Amino acid sequence: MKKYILMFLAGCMAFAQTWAQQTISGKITASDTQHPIPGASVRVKGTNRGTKTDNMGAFAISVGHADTLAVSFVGYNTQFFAPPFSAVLNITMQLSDAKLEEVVVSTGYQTLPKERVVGSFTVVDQQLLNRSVSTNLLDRLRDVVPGFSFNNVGSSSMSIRGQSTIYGNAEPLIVLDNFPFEGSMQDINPNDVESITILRDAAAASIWGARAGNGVIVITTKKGKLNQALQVSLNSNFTMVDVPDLYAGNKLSASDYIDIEKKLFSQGYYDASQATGYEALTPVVEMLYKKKADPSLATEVDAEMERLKGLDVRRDFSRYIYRKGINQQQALNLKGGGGKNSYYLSLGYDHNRGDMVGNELSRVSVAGNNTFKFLKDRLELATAGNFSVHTTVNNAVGTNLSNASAGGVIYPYAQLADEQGNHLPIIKNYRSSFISQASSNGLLDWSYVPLDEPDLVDMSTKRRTARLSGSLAYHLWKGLKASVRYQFINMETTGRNERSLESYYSRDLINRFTQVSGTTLVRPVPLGGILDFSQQSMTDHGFRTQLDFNRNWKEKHELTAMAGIEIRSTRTESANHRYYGYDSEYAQNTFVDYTNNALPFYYDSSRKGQIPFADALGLYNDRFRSYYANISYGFLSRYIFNASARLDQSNLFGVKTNQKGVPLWSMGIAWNVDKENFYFLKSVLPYLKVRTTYGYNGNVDKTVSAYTTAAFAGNRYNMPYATIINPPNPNLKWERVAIWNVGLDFGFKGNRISGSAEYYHKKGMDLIGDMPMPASSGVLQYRGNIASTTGSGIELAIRTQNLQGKLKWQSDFVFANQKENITDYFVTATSSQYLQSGLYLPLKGKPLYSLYSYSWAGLDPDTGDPQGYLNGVASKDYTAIIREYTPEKLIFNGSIRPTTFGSLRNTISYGDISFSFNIAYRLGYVFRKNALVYGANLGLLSNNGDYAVRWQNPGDEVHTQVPSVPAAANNNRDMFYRYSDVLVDKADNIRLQDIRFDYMLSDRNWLPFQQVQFYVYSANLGILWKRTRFDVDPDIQYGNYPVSIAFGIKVNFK
Amino acid sequence: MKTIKIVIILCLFFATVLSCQKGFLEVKPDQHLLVPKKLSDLQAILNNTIMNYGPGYHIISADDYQVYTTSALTALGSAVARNAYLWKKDLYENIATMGDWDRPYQQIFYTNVVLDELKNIERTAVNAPDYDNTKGYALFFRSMAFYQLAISFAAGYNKETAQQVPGIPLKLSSDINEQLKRHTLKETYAQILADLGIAKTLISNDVETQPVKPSRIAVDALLARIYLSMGDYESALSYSNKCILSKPMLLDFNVLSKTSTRPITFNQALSTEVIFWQWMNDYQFAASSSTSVAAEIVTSYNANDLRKTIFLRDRNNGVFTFKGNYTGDSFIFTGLATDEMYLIRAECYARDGKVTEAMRDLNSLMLKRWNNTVSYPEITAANTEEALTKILAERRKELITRGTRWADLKRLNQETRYAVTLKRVLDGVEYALPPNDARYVFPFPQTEIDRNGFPQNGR
Repeated sequence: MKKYILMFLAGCMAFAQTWAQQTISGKITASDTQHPIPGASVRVKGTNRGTKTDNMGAFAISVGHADTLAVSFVGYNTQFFAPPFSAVLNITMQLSDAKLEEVVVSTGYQTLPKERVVGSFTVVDQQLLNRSVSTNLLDRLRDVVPGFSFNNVGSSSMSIRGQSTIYGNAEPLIVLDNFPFEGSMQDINPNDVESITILRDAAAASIWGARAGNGVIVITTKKGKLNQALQVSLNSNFTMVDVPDLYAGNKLSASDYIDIEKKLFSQGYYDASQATGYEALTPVVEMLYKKKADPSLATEVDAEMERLKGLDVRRDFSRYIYRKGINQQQALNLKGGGGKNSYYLSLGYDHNRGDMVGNELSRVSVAGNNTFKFLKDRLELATAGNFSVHTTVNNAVGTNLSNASAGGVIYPYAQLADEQGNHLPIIKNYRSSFISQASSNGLLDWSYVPLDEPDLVDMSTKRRTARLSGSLAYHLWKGLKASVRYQFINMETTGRNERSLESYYSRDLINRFTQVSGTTLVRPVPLGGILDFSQQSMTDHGFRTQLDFNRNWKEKHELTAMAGIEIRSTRTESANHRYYGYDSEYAQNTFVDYTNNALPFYYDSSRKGQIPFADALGLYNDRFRSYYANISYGFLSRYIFNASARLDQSNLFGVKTNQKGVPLWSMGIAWNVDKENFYFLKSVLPYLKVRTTYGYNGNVDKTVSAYTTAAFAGNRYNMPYATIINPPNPNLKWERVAIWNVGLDFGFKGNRISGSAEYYHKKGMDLIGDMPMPASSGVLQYRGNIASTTGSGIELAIRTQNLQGKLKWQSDFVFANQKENITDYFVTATSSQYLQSGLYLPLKGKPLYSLYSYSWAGLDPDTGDPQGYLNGVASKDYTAIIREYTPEKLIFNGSIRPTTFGSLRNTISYGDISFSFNIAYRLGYVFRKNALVYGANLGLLSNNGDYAVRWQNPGDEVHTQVPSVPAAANNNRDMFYRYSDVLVDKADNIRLQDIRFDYMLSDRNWLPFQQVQFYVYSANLGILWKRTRFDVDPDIQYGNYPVSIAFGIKVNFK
Repeated sequence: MKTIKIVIILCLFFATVLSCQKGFLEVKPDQHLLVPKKLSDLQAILNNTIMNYGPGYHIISADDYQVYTTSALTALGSAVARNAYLWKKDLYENIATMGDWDRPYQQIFYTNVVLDELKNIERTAVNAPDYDNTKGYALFFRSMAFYQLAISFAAGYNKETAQQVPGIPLKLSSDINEQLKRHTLKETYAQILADLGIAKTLISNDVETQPVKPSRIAVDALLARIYLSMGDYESALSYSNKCILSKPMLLDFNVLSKTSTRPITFNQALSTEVIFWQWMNDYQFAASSSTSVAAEIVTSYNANDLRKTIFLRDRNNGVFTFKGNYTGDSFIFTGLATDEMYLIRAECYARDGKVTEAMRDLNSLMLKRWNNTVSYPEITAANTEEALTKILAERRKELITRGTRWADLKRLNQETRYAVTLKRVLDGVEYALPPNDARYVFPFPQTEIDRNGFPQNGR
């Protein structure tokens, strides 16, 4: 009945308005995704009549003959349709040119549309984040952000625009949901993340003040939206990680190893060890002694040694120690919202089976958040809770298994298991004859069976994290909002290293201290397992109160301003305790006597020791109080001016510095050129923006203190005495980095080519460094704010739409080039320190991470000795050559971190199928190949496969640069070769970083889901090109990056 | 109405944040850090071994030692020692700095940390003894360091010129960034004497059984030594007198083993003569078997003077090394002891015309150094002049390597009758150091000149 009345009424109205009304229906799809667009607006132009598309993108509307239809959806060009209309109107929406601008960047304090941005931001959206498959969120930033890199060397695992500190914390600041994140990244489920914004320059980051010097990574997690139907999504994948290439390491072959052992044996190298009766000797050395004692065994022994030459322990490693890693990840999330509240809930489960037997990792995470609006939407309350349990088990034995004669390097002919797979003992710390004699004296079996170990120990760490937050925002007045926000994190970590009585570690320690008198055994280390138990508790409070103001006047002036105060306090308490004689069944332990420091060792009673004491306590407090403000003014949306300032105070520096309070600030302007009336390239280049910023970011070095610090050093005449470690330094302050940034954003018609280019120049000031002091000050060297650095660089991010239509091809090109130098530094180390320091030592005028070397003059054609230059002439006087090299005279080979790097990512899609691959390049850096160092053992400890290609006969120098075996051990000869430039080469390389294949089905009638996506992702596919002449991967000389392949499915429910 | 309520709530929030956080930023970042705050912390700082080291290069520059060969010169161990021995104008040869400068300033730094921190501790009835002692110790150590710097790096004291002559930089705060200036010699000594005066009122122990720590008589002994070097014989007499009244003991050399290479044990010295413990910075020349006691000292001992066998070790190649350390080992004792006090008092009596008293003191000492199986020939003097000559001769023979000779030379060279030109001959080359030569003052390390702009000592 109702229906008829409505029809009647509608009919009357239609009649009244026009002569003929028509109902048209249709479906709206997006040109880029080919998916229907729900919620698109279809309205009659000039009226308020209209409708929205349903979840399937369908609509129906009645129109008159004179009406014009306007179809619009955010991010797409609005289309107009004039009569006559067909009954079915299927519309494909084209991406609007403004789509690029619509990206929202988050600084952790506010979100702003990209067109209002003046600083250097890079937003990594969900699509790009989900392109890669990983347990750890940050791994997904690899090779997609210009200027962001993971480091193989140095004091930080990752960098944004290089490093602007020397001894300070060099890691970028990570901000998670508006607060600096003090927890562990491993606890974050990547599936909960909406987007990541990288803040690179002063304007972007200075709002983070004293901790923004290394750039900021702002992570925003998913939230529900108002007026959004429930969305349920399930993501499940599993990844297989290959066994690493054990042969990539270039080690000595069993044959060479045995030959060296024989030579060393003939020189009496092992006689001292052999004389002790207990020191470990490898099976070959044992046989050589056997043969020496009884020459009639010669044939038998020689035959056995020949057999051993055919063995390779790496075969056993790959069969028994390593295995394919298998990572599983499941994530379920729900989100939605009504008119007054929105919600998000997620569950995540990860389980990784490590690539070594005995290692695994798991993570369970629960996240939820809610937003409520009250008081006519003027009051907004948001709450969030995140919980995770992260467990790692590290029971694997590793590959450094033996101490027999070769410093932890296992002899290459070791056998871990026999043909039937039965586990075999290997020689570790003691001779086999000594072990059997000890057993007959009643000691515990002292043999070491590596493959048994994973089952005999429980080495695990469990971390429980709770992160709770709440915020309250109230709209006070037109555009003025006040808010308070609080976050609490509690992270409880328990580590448990339990070695059962059967484990080698426990048996060894018990035996070592066992004393035998007659038939009775005294065991200072009691029988039982050994449990190392550690607990760490971190509590973090963050509190912020902020005023926001945001208003437009006459469409001309736009003002956004905010100011606030933030307080943070992080307290970390830790305790480690060791329990001896541990019995896991009854959780019992026994006391030991730690005070006796003269307990004789079983194997040599003249040597004495103390039962290892491993208890420790720690308490750390980090406190910050900060004041900040930011103002942004836009005129006609063309000119945007931005300024921000922040003042930080902390408990690191003491009252004096806090009182002085040097604020960190920034200023920037942007010009949206395309909005100018005179702009004449609108048809070709519809989006053009230039921007520049200048300002300061800060950084922290926790190793220094403003207070006088001292340590008790001992007792003298029964009086305790203390030594002053750190002089009082009331002038200590934050390190500062001044950054000037210029950026250009552009988009050609239809976004065929779009992107941004940046140039920056930065100056690290007041950096913490060492300075010699006049002795009259009281100290000779002093660590304070004295060093400075400069750096500059270019970054590009360009996207091209090479093909549009059914077959699409998009390329993303990321490029960064950076230069860095230390400009002020006052302590020069010695040449050998610059050469040997595996990490970094500052030298004025050079990059922090630099490689230096001696000049190489080739091998002596008669002896195969390495040669250097002394007064311009080839020489073998290594002592004199080395002495001649002052730090200034060393060859500077270049940076050991890439100076140019980036990637090229191509995405090709056809209908439901898409395929993409990412090629990463790292250029402009050098590496030093691992050298064969002969030492006093003919190169045995060095365990370097170059031994096989060493100089042996005159003429060899034509095809090898590896020196001959020296007549006598010569450290300076080794030192010279090891650090000569013959082993240095360019590390430049290009890799196929990953590929991804996607098949997406959506809105098929037969499908019970809205959308199903199948994907395959494979990473570390290998080197495509490398510059070096050496047959190694310049980034990882002792191995390789194992290939991984992941299979996954993602389902969105209706 | 609601709006107002919420505004009030927000204001309260801001107010809370701003007000209730007193002390919030004062918590220690790492609980393991020892930030010296308590009296016991400060005492521990002053107990540090570094507080008991003294300078040594002026000892090798003076005429206690002699080397005969180039290899013996090399065995002095460092360029600074060799250049100090030969009175070279360039002491450092580009070596940035040296222990005789660094160590005292490190001691001064420690004492300044203590003195600055003491200002933050309230002196109460309960902690007063500890508080006062700590402050007194710090002032004593600092004065000792200032004085020893002045011996090496400033001219000898002369009250007529002290106002114009440069002294040393007086570092009086623990702020390492403080800009220092070079004070005059008068200011330098005034600071030292004033601080010692205060120290005496604060230190509670008259005599210290563990003389690594200062005591009231250590203050007197140091004052006696300083006043003597300033030529203020009246004050030197008064302080050495106080010292001897409290601690008159002398070590009888007859109880010592003459053949031992370490004839004086640590405890023997400690229980008798040692007033304040200090040893010379560990320089190689002291341990060298070719660094000889100067020939003129070696030949000056009477056959029955036990010091000949207790002090000297005949290396049978013309070299006589010194073995009479009060440390009981090869380290050289440069602290304060009663024998020096007797010699100071004797000299001061003599200069005052009190020949009898002077000779009584000299004989008190010499009796303990004389072989008691042979009758002791009493030393006598007919007049002041003769008394002084005899006392100064014994002073030189007694205080070998004790770190007093350089100051004595600077003081005595101001009197024409006792002025000497020091001479060395090595490889046929003769080196001479005339009285009051500019080379009696060591140059400052170059870093000090570069960084602080101090006027350098002409040399």
